[in-house]
Amino acid sequence: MQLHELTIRESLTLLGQKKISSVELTEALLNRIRTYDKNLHSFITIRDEEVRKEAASADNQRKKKVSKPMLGIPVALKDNFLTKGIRTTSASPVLDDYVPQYDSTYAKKLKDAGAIIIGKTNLDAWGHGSSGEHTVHGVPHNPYARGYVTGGSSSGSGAAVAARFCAVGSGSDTGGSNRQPGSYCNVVGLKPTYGRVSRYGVIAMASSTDSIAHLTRTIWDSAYVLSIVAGHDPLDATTSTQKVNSYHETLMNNYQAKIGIPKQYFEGLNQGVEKSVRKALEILEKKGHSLIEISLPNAKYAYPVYCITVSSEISSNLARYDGIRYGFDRSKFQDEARRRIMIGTHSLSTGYADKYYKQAAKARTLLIRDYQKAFMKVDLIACPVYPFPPFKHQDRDLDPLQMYLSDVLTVTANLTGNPGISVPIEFVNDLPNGLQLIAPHFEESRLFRVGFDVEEELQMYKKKPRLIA
Amino acid sequence: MKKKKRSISPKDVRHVAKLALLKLKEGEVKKFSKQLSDVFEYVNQIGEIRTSNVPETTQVTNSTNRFREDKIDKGHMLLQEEALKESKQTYNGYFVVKAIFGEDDAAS
Repeated sequence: MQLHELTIRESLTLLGQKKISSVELTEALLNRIRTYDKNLHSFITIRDEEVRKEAASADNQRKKKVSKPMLGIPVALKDNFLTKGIRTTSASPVLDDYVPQYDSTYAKKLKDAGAIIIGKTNLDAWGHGSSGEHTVHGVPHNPYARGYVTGGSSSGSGAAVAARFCAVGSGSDTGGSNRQPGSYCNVVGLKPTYGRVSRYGVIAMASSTDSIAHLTRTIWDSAYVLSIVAGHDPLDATTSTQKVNSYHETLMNNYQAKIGIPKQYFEGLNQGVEKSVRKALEILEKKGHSLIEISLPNAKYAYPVYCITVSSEISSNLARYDGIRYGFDRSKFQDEARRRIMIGTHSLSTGYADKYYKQAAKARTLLIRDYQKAFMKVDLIACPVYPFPPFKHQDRDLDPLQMYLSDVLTVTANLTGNPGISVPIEFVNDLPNGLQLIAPHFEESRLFRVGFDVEEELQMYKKKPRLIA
Repeated sequence: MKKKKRSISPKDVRHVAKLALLKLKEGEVKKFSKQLSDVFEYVNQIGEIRTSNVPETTQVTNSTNRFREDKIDKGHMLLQEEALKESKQTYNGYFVVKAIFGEDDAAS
């Protein structure tokens, strides 16, 4: 048995049966990280001695019959999740030496559940990017294709989970940042409903679209962890009081969905991506779901609306970094953050706010109406995640607009607040690809249930990357 | 050949950089002028969307005000020492900030 191959579900079973210990599991993962991550750059901070102590303590608790849902399970957190006493950089030089005085709610919930934080993962600084290239900590390599991007901004969590460094890595999804590395790294990337998981202590990118969750290798793991981290948090007034389901318990339910296929989301796709997605849709049909063509008339405006809205919020959120209470001053911002701050500042400035920010806020209402109309006819929407397969490092980096347009299929769910997921499907020219599912608000169960049908048929989690030591 | 006028001129870039407290070098101003022009020329298409009588959306939770009791939660307070821990410059238990008014301002 290879310990690094274990999913959360399998680890919990074996820990419960005393066939493995948390110390063994943690050691195995740390050894693997130490062997391979210098060539992969998925971590910014790797914890060491403290982790061993925490694992030993978890084993002790288990002996004393303490019951916690993640007891002794190693997890990684994206480095924009505040972790008390553990350096948190957001991959920006502005926060290079920042050691938070408190935990994000997501981190605290996992710690309270008994999980062990083995390290903090790389990202596009501040969450700005969809390739993983905007970092000062080494650009992560795609574990399945060296020299290719991992997708972003949760690049390190995508790479780490795919590389079998851990079974779960957290991520924040503001415009696709969990679904995109999910797609490019052959793992499950989840973006829950806005307000389902607390944003408290996750360094804010765009406060009205930031959605917090994780990347895992299987649907069950994704659903299980969501059931632990979701819920109302008095420290984040936008969290919902709606009941949290045991999402992992309804994966086997009998369910036939009406799945909407938006014709606009299939225009201008790379042929390989389209073929792989269409094949996944056939699987869904075979499993008893029905496919219905739908139209989202405002789809082509989604990226421009997103760009204005999110850049405006970025310029406001990043205004607080002055180097007075923590971190360094504004001269440390790098180009991507500076570009987005300036796009946002311009969109909000006197003489332009009506033309840009307010017009985008109105158009956002139209995008929401498009989705609402669609969900009157269908239970789910299915489409690709990216319009093209993983690209090589630096291929798009030189032209910011070309890079931004890789987000066209993911940003709408952020503007509308809907939950979405990326499920691994057949590779395109030996490069990973994902199927995106989008559901009505708080219907994450549908994403997991239908995603599970794809997973069961294709079993892409069995496809292992070849790493270089 | 006449150069195409950029929608975000170097002057515009200097203006937004000043508003956002970013210091740019002259070469950077040119670079950002081109890049931001490309972006805005693409996003300008939102101008064609018909939005008269459409309300603005700025948040998607549908909730309005969330209230809580006006009680101090000691579980979420930092001691002065902890709060100051990450600051590069402190004085007598305070954060040190840059002077906002110069001596000339104070005199006038």
